[in-house]
Amino acid sequence: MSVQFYLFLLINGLSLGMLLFIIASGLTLVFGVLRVINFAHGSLYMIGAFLAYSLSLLMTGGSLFSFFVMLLVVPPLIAVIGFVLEYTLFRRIYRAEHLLQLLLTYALVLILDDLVRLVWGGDPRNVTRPEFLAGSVSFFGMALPTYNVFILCIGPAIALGLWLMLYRTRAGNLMRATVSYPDTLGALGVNVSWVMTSTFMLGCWLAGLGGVLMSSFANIDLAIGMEKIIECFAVVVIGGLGSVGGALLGSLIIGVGITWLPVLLASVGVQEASRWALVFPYAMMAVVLIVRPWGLFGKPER
Amino acid sequence: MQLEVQAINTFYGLSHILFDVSLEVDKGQAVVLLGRNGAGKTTTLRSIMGLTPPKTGTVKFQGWDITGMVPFKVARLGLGFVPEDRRIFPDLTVKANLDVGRTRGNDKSVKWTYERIYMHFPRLKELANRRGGHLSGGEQQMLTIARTLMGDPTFLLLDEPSEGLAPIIVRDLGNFIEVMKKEGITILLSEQNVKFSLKHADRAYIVDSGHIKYQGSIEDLEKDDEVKKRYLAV
Ligand SMILES: Nc1ncnc2c1ncn2[C@@H]1O[C@H](COP(=O)(O)OP(=O)(O)O)[C@@H](O)[C@H]1O
Ligand SMILES: [Mg+2]
Repeated sequence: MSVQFYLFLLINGLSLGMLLFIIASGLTLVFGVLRVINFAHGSLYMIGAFLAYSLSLLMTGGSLFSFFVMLLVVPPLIAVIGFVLEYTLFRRIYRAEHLLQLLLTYALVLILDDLVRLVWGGDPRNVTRPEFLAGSVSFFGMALPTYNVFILCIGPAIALGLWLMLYRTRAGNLMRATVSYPDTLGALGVNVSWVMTSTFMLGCWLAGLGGVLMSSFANIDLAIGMEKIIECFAVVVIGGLGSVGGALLGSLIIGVGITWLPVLLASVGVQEASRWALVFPYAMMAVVLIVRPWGLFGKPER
Repeated sequence: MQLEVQAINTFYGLSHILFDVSLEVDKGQAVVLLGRNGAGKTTTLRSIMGLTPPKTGTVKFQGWDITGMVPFKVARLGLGFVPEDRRIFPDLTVKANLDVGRTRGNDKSVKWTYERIYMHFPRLKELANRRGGHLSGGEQQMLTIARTLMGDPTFLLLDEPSEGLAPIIVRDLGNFIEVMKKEGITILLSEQNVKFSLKHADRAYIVDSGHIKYQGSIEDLEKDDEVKKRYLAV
């Protein structure tokens, strides 16, 4: 295999990783502030993808306009669903034991996934890419999908936006203060419940954005929620729970790993290489948990 | 009467901590709540703030019944709380810690701006970009008071501010308490440091095992060696 080919795969892997980051950053943000791992995050991402699909049917396929409408409408809709879930369910379990939190979010996974099945059925769907992103750019003689390059640019923009929000705005200060001492923050006159609700909504917005981007990236079906939540979980464990920077690094590692490994393994003669590559996220997670249990960017628990 | 606490009983789970505690603070006064370790000072202040709401009794602030009100609403009425353990947000810079206390947003009527805080605490200005977790005890104490002031309270609950501070810092703290008094901020202070309290307070209460055992003017307490010996470690 040529160096160019691996470079090509690297870029595809990075764009996959960026897509993963957009979703995983929401999961890690919610965990960081609310201390709950929302396993239903993947289901919300899937709902976002299917909503984008339904919306695309109402408009001219492949138009720039419809792509923008999807990007503008779907993530806020998922954030609103997040608002309802947080207000009615999640805020009751922040101080509960982990088992209860796990049961609630897992129950939500089952409910939401079945809802998707009811509404959209089991067939795989896809959304036509907008024309200007549908082609490919030539890269060392190989055709690199423009859409992948696009996602490769959106990812860092989201990372930068999140960083600025967390470290340069009052909203970010409030979120980071909530992580340490919510009661103290409340006594300072801050409505901490609202900070938590907003954080949860932002996390869901990111899941929705990931869903929209995914709907034009590859086929979507009923399995993508579960598939993505597992990858996201691996990402946040590798990067460190609650760390957005860690989620970025973790996503890129996973994205590049699952793109590279099948080729790499096949080239050294491993049978069924793509199946072996599926193990990669878990293997990485296991290695990190053994070597550095709090993740690459995380901090040991107090 | 700006603050009126009437016969409150407060519990941590099943353990009864405060027994019919009553106290009153007039506008503009500085009142000290003295007592040994574990006497119930922190619990009293937390009960007023709504952090550990009393089971019975009432807390009135400026005529409003605030018993059982959530802390952020109590704070927005003008009651500021400065925790004993300082609770500086470790991952936030000094400036961000102050920002978080600035609950009135861009309200033009605010008295405590960054400039004024930095004028009184030049050290905080030097440290503006340092993370809260990397401050000394004295710096943390100044920051925790400054952070609460950013919300422009008219009434300040100060929980054992002199605890664990070097004598020079305690003197600075005393000077700043005088500044706040001049600004017209009412203060309810909890302390074990009798000398410090006698210097800055107008009136005193003594709490022991969750009961109020003494109340009176500072002058009377100063003369009352019997009471001081009985309830305070002097
Ligand atoms: N979170 C808590 N749970 C149970 N008991 C507590 C708690 N906090 C304080 N106490 C008890 O309440 C009593 C009063 O404590 P506190 O108000 O902190 O006293 P002080 O501030 O005067 O030192 C003590 O006996 C202490 O052991
Ligand atoms: Mg105390």
